[in-house]
Amino acid sequence: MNRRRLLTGGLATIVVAVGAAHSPMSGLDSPFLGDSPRRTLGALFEVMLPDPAAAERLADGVDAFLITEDPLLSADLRMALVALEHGGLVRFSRLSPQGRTRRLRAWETSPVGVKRQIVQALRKVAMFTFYADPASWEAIGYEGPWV
Amino acid sequence: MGIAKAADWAGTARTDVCIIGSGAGGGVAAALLAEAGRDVVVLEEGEHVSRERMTQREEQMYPLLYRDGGNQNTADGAISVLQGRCLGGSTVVNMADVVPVPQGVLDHWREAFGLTRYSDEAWHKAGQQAMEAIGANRIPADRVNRNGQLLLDGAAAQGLSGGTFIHNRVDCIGSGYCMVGCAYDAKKSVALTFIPRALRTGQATVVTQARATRLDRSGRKVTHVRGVLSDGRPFSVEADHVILAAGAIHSPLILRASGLGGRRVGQHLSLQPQAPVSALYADDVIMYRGIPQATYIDSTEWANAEDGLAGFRVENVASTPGMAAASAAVWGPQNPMHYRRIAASLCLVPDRPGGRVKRKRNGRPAIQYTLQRLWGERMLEAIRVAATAYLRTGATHVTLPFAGAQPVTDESQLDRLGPLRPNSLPLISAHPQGTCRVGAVLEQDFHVKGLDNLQVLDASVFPTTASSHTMLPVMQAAILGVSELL
Repeated sequence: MNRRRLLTGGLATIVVAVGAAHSPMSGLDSPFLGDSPRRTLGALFEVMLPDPAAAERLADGVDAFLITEDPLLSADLRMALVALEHGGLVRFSRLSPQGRTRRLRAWETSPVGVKRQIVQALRKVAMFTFYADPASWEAIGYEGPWV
Repeated sequence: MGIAKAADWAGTARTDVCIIGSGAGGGVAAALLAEAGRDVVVLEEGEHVSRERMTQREEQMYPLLYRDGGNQNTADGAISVLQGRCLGGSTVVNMADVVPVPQGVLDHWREAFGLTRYSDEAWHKAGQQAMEAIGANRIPADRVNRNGQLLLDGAAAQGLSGGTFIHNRVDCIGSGYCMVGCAYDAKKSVALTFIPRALRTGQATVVTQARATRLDRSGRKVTHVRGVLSDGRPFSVEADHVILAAGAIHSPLILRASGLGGRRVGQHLSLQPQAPVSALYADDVIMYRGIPQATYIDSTEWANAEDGLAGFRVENVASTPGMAAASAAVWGPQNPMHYRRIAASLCLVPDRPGGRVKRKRNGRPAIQYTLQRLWGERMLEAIRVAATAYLRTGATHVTLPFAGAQPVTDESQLDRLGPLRPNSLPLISAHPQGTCRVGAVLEQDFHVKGLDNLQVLDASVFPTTASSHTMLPVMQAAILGVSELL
């Protein structure tokens, strides 16, 4: 795996994902990521987001938004998801939620730098996407912008 | 004359001075040169984003105001390197902190690097000139929000000290959205101060969405600045003098692409890494309203002739929900963000030059940087100080920036902080410096060695870290550099 190519870093994919929260759901097969990485993203969001119920909606939004993004940056996200999906004996998306959480916890403190890098970046994508979404604001008591 | 979008510009020009970049260096240079009667063309890669377009929505403003939409990172992904990319550059998106080059840093540059061209008095005078132009003033105590006050109280509880920043906000209403652009024009960025001054002379043209990529050279002179407009058309500006002010990441790229400046271009990068620490309180803090960065602990920082700027400092900080959550190393349904009850700060370590910027085949930067052991140790100490400040002011727990770290509820837990590893904590850099430094790439008057009409005037010129916040030092350098032309 080309380490430099793999994610230009945390915020790289954050902004890619940001607008996604506000994009319409495609309602179709994955428009950008492809079905397998899209499935991984949904499985990731389900265990990373504060509200698992928002996982599929926000993952759909990310996927739709990526079509308009910088291809280099978008490809980084796909590559990270592929690495996560195939980074263990059992594919990530086929693990139970507890199994997915265990894998992510192991990777984020792994001695292998690339694994830490992947979890850092995907965590930022997940958290930014969730909390930049106005649907999340009431629960955290944020009143939203003044303008 | 005026501000032209790429689509409305012919793509060719002849001028006295062409300035690449419109931030703290380029904007200041543009104003001073235009006021001295020079014809000036300023090339800005980003857009002119006026306050009407500042929506306070992070998912909209980061792509519009930041380099790569906030996507710029070190090659290993360990550090997010934030820079503005819009008219006014980073002065539009920064926290408005005004910190001149300390005397100890000037002493260090003189003794360790032999920089004697400009006297201390000249540096200080340049600082005063810039501060007056941007409305710099000390944040009064009654404008410090609870987030800022907790840090000061926590410092006092440890026998440490700090203060409130000098900032360049005027008539600030405390919306708290400084990092995504001020919708009220209270932050007196270069786009609201020096650029209008340049335009008022009738001598300046500012072209936005124009990305300079290469400089043509003939003998000891640069003859043309070439690049591409946002609509894909190439452009060319013929100039008697060229000022490169594209920032410490992209100025070296342009020199590299042009074969100028020698083999040390891009070396000696300082990133001044910052690590976030947050704490949860039982009642509301509401860090995101009021001035988002107002206070600091700096009794742990020093500047002298031997070390330059050294030690560490802790500064309170607040950001929008998405960025706040992304900056914390926690996730999962068991760890929701309690946005209203969080206090937060950044631990800043002035590092020594050790990284480099290389130009990739696709023209993008490869920022290579490793957190050296000493800076890592200081970062850990800074994190301890921040966490202790919160625990001693009543925080129920502190969230450290380490992946997988458990919440800290007792100071004894801070004794066991382990060594830092890359990608194990979310580091941020907002002050990259040093990649075209004086002595290595530049003469003391900021001219590129071997060239008579090319200067660099941005944060890349500093031999070592200039200050804990680089806006004012860049302005100081720009004022001194432009004085060579007047």
